[in-house]
Amino acid sequence: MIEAINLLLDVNLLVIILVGFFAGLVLGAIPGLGSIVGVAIAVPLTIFFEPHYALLLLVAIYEGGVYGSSITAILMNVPGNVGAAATTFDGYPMTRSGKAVDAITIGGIASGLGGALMAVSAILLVPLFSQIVLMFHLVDYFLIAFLGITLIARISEGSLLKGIMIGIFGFLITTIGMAETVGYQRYTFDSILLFDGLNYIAILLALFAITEMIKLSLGQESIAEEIGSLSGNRRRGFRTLAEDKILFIKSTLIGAGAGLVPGSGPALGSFLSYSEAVRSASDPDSFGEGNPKGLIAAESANTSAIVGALIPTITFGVPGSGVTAVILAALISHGITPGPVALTEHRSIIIAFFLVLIFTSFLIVILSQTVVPHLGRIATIDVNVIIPMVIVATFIGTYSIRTNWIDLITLIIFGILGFYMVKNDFSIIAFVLGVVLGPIVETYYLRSITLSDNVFQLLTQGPVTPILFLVVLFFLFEPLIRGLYNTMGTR
Amino acid sequence: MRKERLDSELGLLMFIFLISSYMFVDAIAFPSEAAFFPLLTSSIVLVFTSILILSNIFPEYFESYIDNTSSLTVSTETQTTNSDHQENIPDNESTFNQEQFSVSELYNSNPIFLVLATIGYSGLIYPLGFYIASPIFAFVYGVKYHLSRGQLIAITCLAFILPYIIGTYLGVNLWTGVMFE
Repeated sequence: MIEAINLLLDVNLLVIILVGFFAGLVLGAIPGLGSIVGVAIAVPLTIFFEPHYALLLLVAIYEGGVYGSSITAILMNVPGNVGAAATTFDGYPMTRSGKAVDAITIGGIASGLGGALMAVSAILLVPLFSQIVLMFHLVDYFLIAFLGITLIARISEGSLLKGIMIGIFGFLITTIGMAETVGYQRYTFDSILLFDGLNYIAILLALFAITEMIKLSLGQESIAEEIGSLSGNRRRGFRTLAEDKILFIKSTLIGAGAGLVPGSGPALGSFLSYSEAVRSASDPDSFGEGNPKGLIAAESANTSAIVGALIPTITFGVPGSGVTAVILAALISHGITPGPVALTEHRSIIIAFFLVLIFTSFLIVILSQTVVPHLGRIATIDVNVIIPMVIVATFIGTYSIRTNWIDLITLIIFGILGFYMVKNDFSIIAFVLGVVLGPIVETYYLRSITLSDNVFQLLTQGPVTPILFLVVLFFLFEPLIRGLYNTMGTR
Repeated sequence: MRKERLDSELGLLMFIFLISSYMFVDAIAFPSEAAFFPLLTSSIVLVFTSILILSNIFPEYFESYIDNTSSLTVSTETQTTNSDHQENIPDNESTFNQEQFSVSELYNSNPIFLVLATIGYSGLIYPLGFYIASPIFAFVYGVKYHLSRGQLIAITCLAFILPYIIGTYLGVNLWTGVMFE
């Protein structure tokens, strides 16, 4: 803990975190962009940083982006990303009824305190996570990666088969290049360009920057219109939040719990806590018409889900959201493999992750009372100004990683492929997980197979392995079995 | 629209099927340790893509055998949102679905132009390098979308400065192009 605090007591790092947070705030407020583009572009640009500089910057961009998307959701009914969609339900009606300042106050404080509360809990739980991960063997991580893909496929839209298939296709893509464990070239066509395989950061940038820009180009104008002057009462907003402490705590816990589910992210958290707020309210009809309870539920869950999403990413390498999938790639590229390595050898950086979230959460509270009301106009930026800048930054960033031309070709091919994946409801997060974890999963498998005489011995190494194996089989084949069962039942 | 969607999905599945088939066949010749993982993953992908391709071609028969009702996010959204709320929700985190692709969007030329411009940009990088190709790309993009003169100058200058900033900042020697080598 002391070591983590010492890491943060560095003026340069604090400046980087602040820059990252504000960059995330701006990107998050631009509809269609969100923190994912910011985090993705920042990965190659921070590859030469010290690991803690790079990773804490990415976390700051993430938190800034999530809150940034809420600002325009409240002020303009335009959430920067789908995670803030539930915020519009009551946030924007409050703005329309002359309570914009109340809504900004409630949203900012609920969001900031929710994130801070869960980050403190996560810090307290880090020793427990360390104990849990030590119960797992190498083969368990191999199975967890498969399980992660099947779970992500379940949560994402589209069919399960598509999700599982595309995730495992991600694994397959990573077999291109030199197989380091056995020293053999696979699918390189004797080209030196392919000797090191396809770079997973280039694939991430293709999917999260190029694909996002192609999507953004579908709607060519700025979505939002300029907002007028804001009215409302800050003190009244604060009082409203103080009166709904139970709802705030409940929503924060729901958000964090939903964030733990692989592939869900803040979107699921805010929708679930919003529905729970409606269900448990004495006046459910008032929701959607400017009920502050709806705003409290959505916003407190939104940021607490960030903490929830980071936990499975760090402990098992299974990201809770698209952004955490990118953060996972950054962790791995800086030599921090999720699991025991991350939680023991790099524990100070992991605790610093959560300390940064506490810091940025308090920034949210302060900013919501000062400059945020004026940030709504960011959403009016013309997307045609943003698209070429993002493309140029993506190309330069990708080329900088290893100055390999194949990475630029990767950007274009996977950018187009990503667009068609999204268009046809294939889970991009499952694919990214496959691409990021592929080499690790193969190494885990090869190492564990050399330690066992046969597959049976491999699968009965401890209490966790056989259970995990059965769970993976269940999730992998359950859709087919259920489909067959339903068909036989109807005949 | 349904047909167009199916065509693009079928195309994507066929692409994945072909790549996986090649990788499967090639992996047979690898030494056993190097072959295991590509063989395992490519065979799973081949089985699943085959089912998906068949379910695209014969949807009536296959849809009853494949249970697709798994989306937790869809069900929660359906419970909590109404049509008014859905108006301005852009998608991020890669979860947008087919409803967001309206008929007009499917025939929208903007993504095609963007892809072609991006390919052109990457093609220009080799002869001209990042420092020249980037502002040309930004300028052409800006002209195509009728940006104001101020915006056009701003994005062109930014695209000119960006390679310098990133190159200097990261200490990377960015490609200057065969014409200026």
